[in-house]
Amino acid sequence: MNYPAEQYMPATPAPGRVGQGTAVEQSRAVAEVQAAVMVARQFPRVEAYSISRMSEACKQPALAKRAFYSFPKGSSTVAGETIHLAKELARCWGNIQYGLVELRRDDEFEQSEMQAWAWDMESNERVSTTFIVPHARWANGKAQKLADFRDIYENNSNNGSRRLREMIFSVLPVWYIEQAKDLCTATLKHGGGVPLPQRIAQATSAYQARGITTEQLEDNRGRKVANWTDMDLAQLEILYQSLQRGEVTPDEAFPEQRVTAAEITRAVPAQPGQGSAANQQGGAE
Amino acid sequence: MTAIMPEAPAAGPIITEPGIYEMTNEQYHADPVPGGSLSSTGARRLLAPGCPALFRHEQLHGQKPRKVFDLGTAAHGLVLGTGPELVRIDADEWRTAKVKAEVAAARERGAIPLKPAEFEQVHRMAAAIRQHPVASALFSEDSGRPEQSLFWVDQATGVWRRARLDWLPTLGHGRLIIPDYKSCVSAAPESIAKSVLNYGYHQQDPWYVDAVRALGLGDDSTTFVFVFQEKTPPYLVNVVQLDQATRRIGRQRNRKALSIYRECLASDHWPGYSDQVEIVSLPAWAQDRQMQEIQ
Repeated sequence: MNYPAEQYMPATPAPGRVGQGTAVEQSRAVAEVQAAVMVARQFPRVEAYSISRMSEACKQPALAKRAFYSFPKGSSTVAGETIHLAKELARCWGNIQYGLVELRRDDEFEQSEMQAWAWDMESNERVSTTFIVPHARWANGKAQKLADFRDIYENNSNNGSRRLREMIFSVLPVWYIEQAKDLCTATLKHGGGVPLPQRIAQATSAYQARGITTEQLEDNRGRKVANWTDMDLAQLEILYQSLQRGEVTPDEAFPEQRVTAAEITRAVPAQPGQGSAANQQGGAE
Repeated sequence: MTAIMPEAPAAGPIITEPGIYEMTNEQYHADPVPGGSLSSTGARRLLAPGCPALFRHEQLHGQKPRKVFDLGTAAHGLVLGTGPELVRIDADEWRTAKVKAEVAAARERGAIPLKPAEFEQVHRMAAAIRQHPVASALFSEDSGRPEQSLFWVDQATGVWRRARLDWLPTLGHGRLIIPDYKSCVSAAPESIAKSVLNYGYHQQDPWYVDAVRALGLGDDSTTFVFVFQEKTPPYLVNVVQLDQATRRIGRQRNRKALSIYRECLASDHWPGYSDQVEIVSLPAWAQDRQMQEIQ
Protein backbone atom coordinates (compact mmCIF):
# COMPACT_ATOMS: atom_id res chain seq x y z
CA MET A 1 0.00 0.00 0.00
CA ASN A 2 1.37 3.35 -0.91
CA TYR A 3 0.28 6.53 0.79
CA PRO A 4 1.14 10.04 -0.14
CA ALA A 5 4.17 10.96 1.88
CA GLU A 6 2.56 14.11 3.28
CA GLN A 7 0.34 12.00 5.48
CA TYR A 8 3.25 10.81 7.61
CA MET A 9 5.81 13.45 7.22
CA PRO A 10 5.21 16.12 9.76
CA ALA A 11 5.88 19.53 8.33
CA THR A 12 9.33 20.93 9.10
CA PRO A 13 8.94 23.39 11.91
CA ALA A 14 9.10 26.91 10.56
CA PRO A 15 8.42 30.26 12.11
CA GLY A 16 4.73 31.17 11.78
CA ARG A 17 5.46 34.50 10.25
CA VAL A 18 8.55 35.78 8.52
CA GLY A 19 8.91 39.54 8.48
CA GLN A 20 9.96 41.25 5.28
CA GLY A 21 13.36 42.19 6.65
CA THR A 22 13.98 38.59 7.61
CA ALA A 23 12.85 37.34 4.19
CA VAL A 24 15.25 39.70 2.46
CA GLU A 25 18.01 38.62 4.83
CA GLN A 26 17.31 34.94 4.18
CA SER A 27 17.58 35.26 0.41
CA ARG A 28 20.61 37.49 0.76
CA ALA A 29 22.32 34.85 2.92
CA VAL A 30 21.67 32.16 0.33
CA ALA A 31 23.10 34.37 -2.43
CA GLU A 32 26.06 35.28 -0.30
CA VAL A 33 26.99 31.67 0.41
CA GLN A 34 26.72 30.81 -3.28
CA ALA A 35 28.86 33.76 -4.25
CA ALA A 36 31.45 32.96 -1.59
CA VAL A 37 31.79 29.40 -2.83
CA MET A 38 32.05 30.61 -6.44
CA VAL A 39 34.74 33.13 -5.55
CA ALA A 40 36.63 30.57 -3.50
CA ARG A 41 36.64 28.21 -6.47
CA GLN A 42 37.74 30.94 -8.86
CA PHE A 43 40.50 32.24 -6.62
CA PRO A 44 41.87 29.24 -4.77
CA ARG A 45 44.47 29.91 -2.12
CA VAL A 46 48.10 29.73 -3.14
CA GLU A 47 49.73 27.89 -0.25
CA ALA A 48 53.06 29.66 -0.69
CA TYR A 49 51.33 33.01 -0.15
CA SER A 50 49.36 31.64 2.76
CA ILE A 51 52.55 30.49 4.42
CA SER A 52 54.38 33.74 3.87
CA ARG A 53 51.41 35.73 5.21
CA MET A 54 51.36 33.50 8.26
CA SER A 55 55.09 33.76 8.95
CA GLU A 56 54.92 37.54 8.59
CA ALA A 57 52.06 37.67 11.08
CA CYS A 58 53.79 35.38 13.54
CA LYS A 59 56.87 37.59 13.54
CA GLN A 60 54.82 40.39 15.07
CA PRO A 61 55.28 40.50 18.85
CA ALA A 62 51.72 41.80 19.17
CA LEU A 63 50.37 38.52 17.82
CA ALA A 64 52.98 36.28 19.41
CA LYS A 65 52.15 37.62 22.87
CA ARG A 66 48.49 36.85 22.37
CA ALA A 67 49.04 33.49 20.70
CA PHE A 68 49.22 31.32 23.82
CA TYR A 69 47.55 31.08 27.18
CA SER A 70 48.83 29.39 30.27
CA PHE A 71 47.44 29.06 33.75
CA PRO A 72 47.84 26.62 36.61
CA LYS A 73 44.95 24.34 37.44
CA GLY A 74 45.37 22.21 40.52
CA SER A 75 48.90 20.97 40.46
CA SER A 76 49.31 21.07 36.67
CA THR A 77 49.38 23.83 34.09
CA VAL A 78 46.82 24.25 31.37
CA ALA A 79 48.37 25.75 28.26
CA GLY A 80 47.47 26.06 24.61
CA GLU A 81 46.77 28.35 21.67
CA THR A 82 44.32 31.22 21.89
CA ILE A 83 41.35 32.13 19.71
CA HIS A 84 43.40 35.14 18.55
CA LEU A 85 45.94 32.85 16.92
CA ALA A 86 43.18 30.72 15.38
CA LYS A 87 41.48 33.73 13.79
CA GLU A 88 44.75 35.10 12.48
CA LEU A 89 45.70 31.76 10.96
CA ALA A 90 42.28 31.47 9.32
CA ARG A 91 42.82 34.88 7.79
CA CYS A 92 46.28 33.99 6.49
CA TRP A 93 45.19 30.59 5.14
CA GLY A 94 42.37 32.21 3.19
CA ASN A 95 38.94 31.11 1.99
CA ILE A 96 37.90 30.15 5.50
CA GLN A 97 34.69 31.34 7.08
CA TYR A 98 33.81 30.80 10.71
CA GLY A 99 31.23 32.00 13.14
CA LEU A 100 29.65 31.74 16.54
CA VAL A 101 25.88 31.90 16.84
CA GLU A 102 23.62 32.04 19.83
CA LEU A 103 20.76 29.92 18.53
CA ARG A 104 18.49 30.37 21.49
CA ARG A 105 18.63 32.01 24.87
CA ASP A 106 16.46 30.24 27.37
CA ASP A 107 15.92 32.35 30.47
CA GLU A 108 13.56 29.81 31.97
CA PHE A 109 16.15 27.03 32.00
CA GLU A 110 18.95 29.57 32.41
CA GLN A 111 20.99 28.38 29.47
CA SER A 112 21.90 29.34 25.93
CA GLU A 113 22.07 27.00 22.96
CA MET A 114 25.02 27.97 20.83
CA GLN A 115 26.78 26.88 17.71
CA ALA A 116 30.36 27.38 16.59
CA TRP A 117 31.36 26.55 13.05
CA ALA A 118 34.22 26.85 10.60
CA TRP A 119 34.14 26.24 6.88
CA ASP A 120 36.83 25.79 4.27
CA MET A 121 35.03 27.03 1.18
CA GLU A 122 37.47 25.50 -1.25
CA SER A 123 37.32 21.94 -0.07
CA ASN A 124 33.81 22.48 1.28
CA GLU A 125 34.89 20.97 4.56
CA ARG A 126 32.59 22.28 7.24
CA VAL A 127 32.70 21.50 10.95
CA SER A 128 30.28 22.71 13.54
CA THR A 129 29.41 22.00 17.12
CA THR A 130 26.23 22.81 18.97
CA PHE A 131 26.50 23.14 22.72
CA ILE A 132 24.68 24.39 25.78
CA VAL A 133 26.12 27.13 27.93
CA PRO A 134 24.51 27.36 31.36
CA HIS A 135 24.01 30.90 32.61
CA ALA A 136 26.29 30.20 35.51
CA ARG A 137 29.89 30.58 36.43
CA TRP A 138 31.97 28.17 38.47
CA ALA A 139 33.50 30.04 41.35
CA ASN A 140 34.69 29.06 44.83
CA GLY A 141 33.80 25.43 44.21
CA LYS A 142 30.16 26.02 43.31
CA ALA A 143 28.05 27.25 40.41
CA GLN A 144 27.00 30.87 40.69
CA LYS A 145 23.97 31.89 38.67
CA LEU A 146 24.34 34.82 36.31
CA ALA A 147 21.49 37.28 36.04
CA ASP A 148 23.10 40.36 34.52
CA PHE A 149 22.67 40.29 30.73
CA ARG A 150 26.17 41.52 30.28
CA ASP A 151 27.55 38.71 32.43
CA ILE A 152 25.56 36.20 30.38
CA TYR A 153 26.89 37.68 27.15
CA GLU A 154 30.47 37.59 28.44
CA ASN A 155 30.04 34.03 29.64
CA ASN A 156 28.54 32.89 26.35
CA SER A 157 31.26 34.48 24.27
CA ASN A 158 33.97 33.08 26.53
CA ASN A 159 32.60 29.56 26.27
CA GLY A 160 31.86 30.03 22.57
CA SER A 161 35.28 31.30 21.61
CA ARG A 162 36.91 28.17 23.01
CA ARG A 163 34.70 26.01 20.78
CA LEU A 164 35.22 28.32 17.83
CA ARG A 165 38.97 27.97 18.25
CA GLU A 166 38.66 24.19 18.05
CA MET A 167 36.48 24.45 14.93
CA ILE A 168 38.92 26.76 13.14
CA PHE A 169 41.86 24.54 14.05
CA SER A 170 40.05 21.50 12.72
CA VAL A 171 39.73 22.95 9.20
CA LEU A 172 43.35 24.17 9.11
CA PRO A 173 46.17 21.76 8.27
CA VAL A 174 48.07 20.54 11.32
CA TRP A 175 51.50 21.33 9.84
CA TYR A 176 50.38 24.91 9.23
CA ILE A 177 49.33 25.36 12.85
CA GLU A 178 52.52 23.75 14.16
CA GLN A 179 54.68 26.00 11.99
CA ALA A 180 52.84 29.03 13.26
CA LYS A 181 53.28 27.95 16.89
CA ASP A 182 57.03 27.53 16.39
CA LEU A 183 57.31 30.94 14.77
CA CYS A 184 55.34 32.62 17.57
CA THR A 185 57.52 30.94 20.18
CA ALA A 186 60.63 32.12 18.34
CA THR A 187 59.25 35.66 18.24
CA LEU A 188 58.55 35.58 21.95
CA LYS A 189 62.08 34.33 22.62
CA HIS A 190 63.59 37.00 20.43
CA GLY A 191 61.59 39.67 22.25
CA GLY A 192 61.84 42.29 19.54
CA GLY A 193 65.63 42.42 19.80
CA VAL A 194 65.65 44.02 23.28
CA PRO A 195 68.44 42.54 25.40
CA LEU A 196 67.29 39.90 27.87
CA PRO A 197 68.27 41.68 31.13
CA GLN A 198 66.32 44.73 30.04
CA ARG A 199 63.25 42.64 29.22
CA ILE A 200 63.52 40.86 32.56
CA ALA A 201 63.55 44.22 34.31
CA GLN A 202 60.48 45.29 32.33
CA ALA A 203 58.65 42.08 33.14
CA THR A 204 59.40 42.15 36.87
CA SER A 205 58.31 45.77 37.16
CA ALA A 206 55.10 45.07 35.22
CA TYR A 207 54.31 42.25 37.64
CA GLN A 208 55.36 44.42 40.56
CA ALA A 209 52.65 46.87 39.55
CA ARG A 210 50.14 44.06 39.97
CA GLY A 211 51.44 43.29 43.45
CA ILE A 212 53.38 40.19 42.46
CA THR A 213 56.87 40.01 43.89
CA THR A 214 60.02 38.84 42.14
CA GLU A 215 60.21 35.96 44.63
CA GLN A 216 56.81 34.75 43.45
CA LEU A 217 58.00 34.91 39.84
CA GLU A 218 61.10 32.92 40.81
CA ASP A 219 58.90 30.33 42.51
CA ASN A 220 56.79 30.14 39.38
CA ARG A 221 59.79 29.56 37.13
CA GLY A 222 61.65 27.44 39.65
CA ARG A 223 64.84 29.43 39.31
CA LYS A 224 66.39 32.74 40.27
CA VAL A 225 66.00 35.82 38.08
CA ALA A 226 69.69 35.65 37.22
CA ASN A 227 69.19 32.26 35.57
CA TRP A 228 66.07 33.04 33.56
CA THR A 229 66.15 32.10 29.91
CA ASP A 230 64.31 33.58 26.93
CA MET A 231 61.75 30.84 27.33
CA ASP A 232 61.11 31.68 30.97
CA LEU A 233 60.43 35.23 30.00
CA ALA A 234 58.18 34.17 27.14
CA GLN A 235 56.17 32.04 29.58
CA LEU A 236 55.89 34.92 32.02
CA GLU A 237 54.71 37.22 29.24
CA ILE A 238 52.04 34.70 28.25
CA LEU A 239 50.96 34.40 31.85
CA TYR A 240 50.87 38.17 32.14
CA GLN A 241 48.54 38.36 29.16
CA SER A 242 46.34 35.66 30.71
CA LEU A 243 46.22 37.72 33.91
CA GLN A 244 45.35 40.87 31.98
CA ARG A 245 42.53 39.10 30.18
CA GLY A 246 41.22 37.74 33.44
CA GLU A 247 41.62 34.09 32.40
CA VAL A 248 43.49 33.49 35.61
CA THR A 249 43.57 35.29 38.97
CA PRO A 250 46.83 36.29 40.63
CA ASP A 251 46.06 33.86 43.48
CA GLU A 252 45.80 30.95 41.08
CA ALA A 253 48.86 31.89 39.09
CA PHE A 254 51.05 32.72 42.04
CA PRO A 255 50.26 30.64 45.07
CA GLU A 256 51.54 32.10 48.31
CA GLN A 257 55.27 32.05 48.73
CA ARG A 258 56.67 28.85 50.14
CA VAL A 259 57.95 28.91 53.68
CA THR A 260 61.73 28.86 53.76
CA ALA A 261 64.12 27.95 56.55
CA ALA A 262 65.56 31.44 56.32
CA GLU A 263 62.15 32.98 56.85
CA ILE A 264 61.57 30.98 60.03
CA THR A 265 65.00 31.49 61.51
CA ARG A 266 64.96 35.19 60.60
CA ALA A 267 61.77 35.72 62.58
CA VAL A 268 63.42 34.47 65.77
CA PRO A 269 66.80 35.66 66.99
CA ALA A 270 69.03 32.59 67.30
CA GLN A 271 69.75 31.62 70.85
CA PRO A 272 73.26 30.90 72.01
CA GLY A 273 74.36 27.34 71.56
CA GLN A 274 72.06 26.80 68.60
CA GLY A 275 72.30 26.93 64.89
CA SER A 276 75.61 26.01 63.34
CA ALA A 277 76.16 22.74 65.17
CA ALA A 278 72.61 21.78 64.52
CA ASN A 279 73.22 21.10 60.85
CA GLN A 280 75.22 18.05 61.76
CA GLN A 281 72.03 16.55 63.10
CA GLY A 282 71.11 15.89 59.52
CA GLY A 283 67.61 17.34 59.66
CA ALA A 284 66.19 17.24 56.15
CA GLU A 285 65.46 20.66 54.76
CA MET B 1 18.93 19.51 69.63
CA THR B 2 17.46 16.49 71.35
CA ALA B 3 20.72 14.61 71.66
CA ILE B 4 22.47 14.32 74.98
CA MET B 5 25.85 15.98 74.83
CA PRO B 6 28.79 14.59 76.73
CA GLU B 7 29.09 16.27 80.10
CA ALA B 8 32.03 18.58 80.37
CA PRO B 9 34.04 18.01 83.56
CA ALA B 10 32.37 19.74 86.45
CA ALA B 11 35.26 22.13 86.96
CA GLY B 12 35.77 22.59 83.23
CA PRO B 13 35.08 25.85 81.44
CA ILE B 14 31.93 26.44 79.43
CA ILE B 15 32.70 28.19 76.17
CA THR B 16 30.00 30.43 74.77
CA GLU B 17 32.17 33.13 73.21
CA PRO B 18 34.62 32.65 70.34
CA GLY B 19 38.21 33.21 71.39
CA ILE B 20 41.51 31.77 72.61
CA TYR B 21 41.40 29.79 75.82
CA GLU B 22 43.90 28.13 78.12
CA MET B 23 42.68 24.70 79.25
CA THR B 24 43.93 21.19 79.81
CA ASN B 25 43.92 18.55 77.10
CA GLU B 26 41.08 16.71 78.88
CA GLN B 27 38.93 19.81 79.13
CA TYR B 28 39.47 20.52 75.45
CA HIS B 29 38.71 16.96 74.34
CA ALA B 30 35.60 16.89 76.50
CA ASP B 31 34.34 19.74 74.27
CA PRO B 32 33.47 22.68 76.51
CA VAL B 33 30.99 24.14 73.99
CA PRO B 34 27.38 23.54 75.05
CA GLY B 35 25.68 21.81 72.14
CA GLY B 36 29.02 20.60 70.85
CA SER B 37 31.69 21.81 68.46
CA LEU B 38 33.60 20.17 65.64
CA SER B 39 37.35 19.64 65.86
CA SER B 40 39.71 18.92 62.97
CA THR B 41 39.98 15.27 64.07
CA GLY B 42 36.19 15.06 64.17
CA ALA B 43 35.91 16.51 60.68
CA ARG B 44 38.26 13.79 59.39
CA ARG B 45 36.29 11.09 61.22
CA LEU B 46 33.05 12.17 59.55
CA LEU B 47 34.41 11.55 56.07
CA ALA B 48 35.42 8.23 54.50
CA PRO B 49 37.03 5.98 55.61
CA GLY B 50 35.19 7.08 58.78
CA CYS B 51 31.50 7.85 58.94
CA PRO B 52 29.11 9.96 61.02
CA ALA B 53 28.19 7.00 63.26
CA LEU B 54 31.84 6.46 64.25
CA PHE B 55 32.31 10.16 64.82
CA ARG B 56 29.24 10.33 67.03
CA HIS B 57 30.33 7.35 69.10
CA GLU B 58 33.72 8.89 69.76
CA GLN B 59 32.14 12.23 70.51
CA LEU B 60 29.87 10.70 73.16
CA HIS B 61 32.25 8.13 74.65
CA GLY B 62 35.74 9.46 73.96
CA GLN B 63 38.74 7.41 72.81
CA LYS B 64 40.66 4.90 74.87
CA PRO B 65 44.30 5.76 75.57
CA ARG B 66 46.63 3.60 73.48
CA LYS B 67 50.26 2.80 73.99
CA VAL B 68 51.51 4.57 70.85
CA PHE B 69 49.41 7.48 71.83
CA ASP B 70 51.30 7.76 75.09
CA LEU B 71 54.71 7.98 73.47
CA GLY B 72 53.57 10.57 70.94
CA THR B 73 51.85 12.59 73.64
CA ALA B 74 54.91 12.39 75.88
CA ALA B 75 57.28 13.62 73.16
CA HIS B 76 54.79 16.28 72.25
CA GLY B 77 54.53 17.61 75.78
CA LEU B 78 58.25 17.67 76.30
CA VAL B 79 59.00 19.41 73.00
CA LEU B 80 56.42 22.10 73.67
CA GLY B 81 57.38 22.40 77.32
CA THR B 82 53.83 21.67 78.42
CA GLY B 83 51.68 18.66 78.68
CA PRO B 84 51.43 15.98 81.31
CA GLU B 85 54.11 14.90 83.71
CA LEU B 86 56.32 12.04 82.50
CA VAL B 87 56.89 9.30 85.03
CA ARG B 88 59.83 6.94 84.69
CA ILE B 89 58.66 3.51 85.82
CA ASP B 90 61.77 1.56 86.89
CA ALA B 91 60.84 -1.69 85.20
CA ASP B 92 61.18 -2.98 81.67
CA GLU B 93 58.14 -5.21 82.10
CA TRP B 94 54.99 -3.98 83.75
CA ARG B 95 53.93 -7.27 85.22
CA THR B 96 54.24 -7.22 88.99
CA ALA B 97 51.36 -5.91 91.05
CA LYS B 98 53.59 -3.23 92.55
CA VAL B 99 54.62 -1.84 89.16
CA LYS B 100 51.08 -2.10 87.84
CA ALA B 101 49.85 -0.09 90.79
CA GLU B 102 52.53 2.52 90.12
CA VAL B 103 51.47 2.74 86.47
CA ALA B 104 47.81 2.98 87.40
CA ALA B 105 48.52 5.67 89.97
CA ALA B 106 50.45 7.69 87.40
CA ARG B 107 47.63 7.39 84.85
CA GLU B 108 45.16 8.28 87.58
CA ARG B 109 46.76 11.66 88.18
CA GLY B 110 47.01 12.35 84.44
CA ALA B 111 50.72 11.60 84.12
CA ILE B 112 52.23 9.39 81.43
CA PRO B 113 54.05 6.31 82.72
CA LEU B 114 57.07 5.33 80.58
CA LYS B 115 59.55 2.51 80.60
CA PRO B 116 63.19 3.59 81.17
CA ALA B 117 64.08 3.22 77.48
CA GLU B 118 61.04 5.20 76.38
CA PHE B 119 61.73 7.89 78.96
CA GLU B 120 65.23 8.22 77.55
CA GLN B 121 63.92 8.21 73.98
CA VAL B 122 61.44 11.00 74.58
CA HIS B 123 64.07 13.22 76.15
CA ARG B 124 66.44 12.63 73.26
CA MET B 125 63.69 13.51 70.80
CA ALA B 126 63.09 16.82 72.54
CA ALA B 127 66.83 17.51 72.50
CA ALA B 128 67.02 16.81 68.76
CA ILE B 129 64.21 19.30 68.13
CA ARG B 130 66.05 21.94 70.13
CA GLN B 131 69.15 21.23 68.03
CA HIS B 132 67.37 21.62 64.71
CA PRO B 133 67.81 25.18 63.40
CA VAL B 134 64.35 25.55 61.87
CA ALA B 135 62.31 23.52 64.36
CA SER B 136 63.95 25.18 67.34
CA ALA B 137 63.15 28.59 65.90
CA LEU B 138 59.51 27.58 65.37
CA PHE B 139 59.07 26.42 68.95
CA SER B 140 61.43 28.86 70.66
CA GLU B 141 60.02 30.04 73.98
CA ASP B 142 59.77 33.72 73.17
CA SER B 143 58.06 33.16 69.81
CA GLY B 144 54.62 32.08 71.01
CA ARG B 145 52.46 30.14 73.43
CA PRO B 146 51.98 26.36 73.50
CA GLU B 147 48.72 24.40 73.53
CA GLN B 148 46.19 27.12 72.83
CA SER B 149 42.53 26.19 72.42
CA LEU B 150 40.66 28.21 69.81
CA PHE B 151 36.90 28.29 69.47
CA TRP B 152 34.97 30.06 66.74
CA VAL B 153 31.73 29.89 64.77
CA ASP B 154 31.93 28.90 61.11
CA GLN B 155 30.62 31.73 58.93
CA ALA B 156 29.05 29.55 56.26
CA THR B 157 27.34 26.88 58.38
CA GLY B 158 26.95 28.48 61.80
CA VAL B 159 28.67 25.41 63.28
CA TRP B 160 30.94 25.83 66.31
CA ARG B 161 34.48 24.81 65.44
CA ARG B 162 37.43 24.21 67.71
CA ALA B 163 41.15 23.71 67.28
CA ARG B 164 43.97 23.06 69.73
CA LEU B 165 47.15 24.53 68.35
CA ASP B 166 50.44 23.00 69.45
CA TRP B 167 51.90 26.43 69.17
CA LEU B 168 50.35 29.83 68.59
CA PRO B 169 53.11 32.17 67.41
CA THR B 170 52.99 35.77 68.48
CA LEU B 171 52.68 38.05 65.50
CA GLY B 172 56.12 39.45 64.79
CA HIS B 173 57.40 40.90 61.57
CA GLY B 174 56.60 38.75 58.58
CA ARG B 175 53.65 36.43 58.26
CA LEU B 176 52.29 34.09 60.88
CA ILE B 177 53.58 30.53 60.48
CA ILE B 178 51.70 27.99 62.60
CA PRO B 179 53.84 24.93 63.38
CA ASP B 180 52.45 21.53 64.32
CA TYR B 181 54.57 18.76 65.82
CA LYS B 182 54.17 15.14 64.72
CA SER B 183 56.21 12.13 65.78
CA CYS B 184 56.42 9.46 63.09
CA VAL B 185 58.24 6.31 62.01
CA SER B 186 59.84 7.92 58.96
CA ALA B 187 60.18 11.60 58.13
CA ALA B 188 61.18 10.94 54.52
CA PRO B 189 59.06 13.06 52.13
CA GLU B 190 57.40 9.99 50.55
CA SER B 191 56.41 8.64 53.96
CA ILE B 192 55.11 12.04 55.00
CA ALA B 193 52.99 12.15 51.85
CA LYS B 194 51.42 8.81 52.85
CA SER B 195 50.83 10.02 56.41
CA VAL B 196 49.16 13.15 55.08
CA LEU B 197 46.75 10.94 53.16
CA ASN B 198 46.22 8.35 55.91
CA TYR B 199 45.70 10.77 58.77
CA GLY B 200 44.17 13.63 56.77
CA TYR B 201 46.84 16.13 57.78
CA HIS B 202 45.93 18.19 54.72
CA GLN B 203 42.64 18.90 56.49
CA GLN B 204 44.33 19.95 59.71
CA ASP B 205 46.40 22.61 57.96
CA PRO B 206 43.53 24.72 56.54
CA TRP B 207 41.44 24.03 59.68
CA TYR B 208 44.02 25.68 61.94
CA VAL B 209 44.64 28.49 59.48
CA ASP B 210 40.86 29.12 59.48
CA ALA B 211 40.93 29.26 63.29
CA VAL B 212 43.65 31.86 63.37
CA ARG B 213 42.04 33.94 60.64
CA ALA B 214 38.55 33.71 62.12
CA LEU B 215 39.76 35.06 65.45
CA GLY B 216 41.75 37.83 63.78
CA LEU B 217 45.09 36.53 65.08
CA GLY B 218 46.58 36.39 61.61
CA ASP B 219 45.79 37.79 58.19
CA ASP B 220 45.39 36.12 54.80
CA SER B 221 49.11 35.41 54.57
CA THR B 222 48.93 33.05 57.58
CA THR B 223 50.43 29.72 56.73
CA PHE B 224 51.17 26.37 58.31
CA VAL B 225 54.08 23.93 58.56
CA PHE B 226 54.44 20.44 59.98
CA VAL B 227 57.44 19.46 62.05
CA PHE B 228 57.87 15.71 61.59
CA GLN B 229 60.25 13.82 63.83
CA GLU B 230 61.26 10.17 63.70
CA LYS B 231 60.83 8.12 66.85
CA THR B 232 64.11 6.24 66.37
CA PRO B 233 67.73 7.48 66.62
CA PRO B 234 69.01 9.85 65.29
CA TYR B 235 65.49 11.30 65.69
CA LEU B 236 65.65 13.15 62.39
CA VAL B 237 63.50 16.22 61.99
CA ASN B 238 61.85 17.35 58.76
CA VAL B 239 59.90 20.60 58.50
CA VAL B 240 57.43 20.54 55.61
CA GLN B 241 54.76 22.69 54.07
CA LEU B 242 51.96 21.17 52.00
CA ASP B 243 51.58 22.41 48.47
CA GLN B 244 48.72 24.60 47.30
CA ALA B 245 46.75 21.86 45.54
CA THR B 246 46.91 19.53 48.55
CA ARG B 247 45.73 22.26 50.90
CA ARG B 248 42.90 23.13 48.54
CA ILE B 249 41.72 19.51 48.64
CA GLY B 250 41.94 19.57 52.43
CA ARG B 251 39.94 22.77 52.60
CA GLN B 252 37.22 21.32 50.39
CA ARG B 253 37.04 18.18 52.53
CA ASN B 254 36.67 20.35 55.61
CA ARG B 255 33.77 22.13 53.94
CA LYS B 256 32.14 18.80 53.17
CA ALA B 257 32.62 17.61 56.75
CA LEU B 258 31.11 20.81 58.14
CA SER B 259 27.98 20.45 56.04
CA ILE B 260 27.61 16.75 56.94
CA TYR B 261 28.01 17.67 60.60
CA ARG B 262 25.39 20.37 60.37
CA GLU B 263 22.91 18.02 58.65
CA CYS B 264 23.48 15.20 61.14
CA LEU B 265 23.12 17.61 64.03
CA ALA B 266 19.89 19.05 62.68
CA SER B 267 18.30 15.65 62.01
CA ASP B 268 20.05 13.86 64.89
CA HIS B 269 20.68 11.06 62.43
CA TRP B 270 24.25 9.79 62.31
CA PRO B 271 24.43 7.22 59.51
CA GLY B 272 27.01 4.45 59.29
CA TYR B 273 28.94 3.64 56.13
CA SER B 274 25.82 3.13 54.08
CA ASP B 275 22.12 2.36 54.39
CA GLN B 276 22.22 0.47 51.11
CA VAL B 277 23.95 -2.67 49.84
CA GLU B 278 27.16 -1.28 48.46
CA ILE B 279 29.17 -2.61 45.54
CA VAL B 280 32.82 -3.11 46.41
CA SER B 281 35.61 -3.38 43.87
CA LEU B 282 39.33 -3.84 44.19
CA PRO B 283 41.36 -0.70 44.81
CA ALA B 284 42.13 0.93 41.45
CA TRP B 285 45.87 0.25 41.60
CA ALA B 286 45.34 -3.46 42.35
CA GLN B 287 42.74 -3.74 39.63
CA ASP B 288 45.16 -2.33 37.05
CA ARG B 289 47.92 -4.65 38.16
CA GLN B 290 45.84 -7.81 38.27
CA MET B 291 44.14 -7.09 34.96
CA GLN B 292 47.58 -6.96 33.38
CA GLU B 293 48.48 -10.30 34.95
CA ILE B 294 45.43 -11.90 33.37
CA GLN B 295 45.97 -10.50 29.89
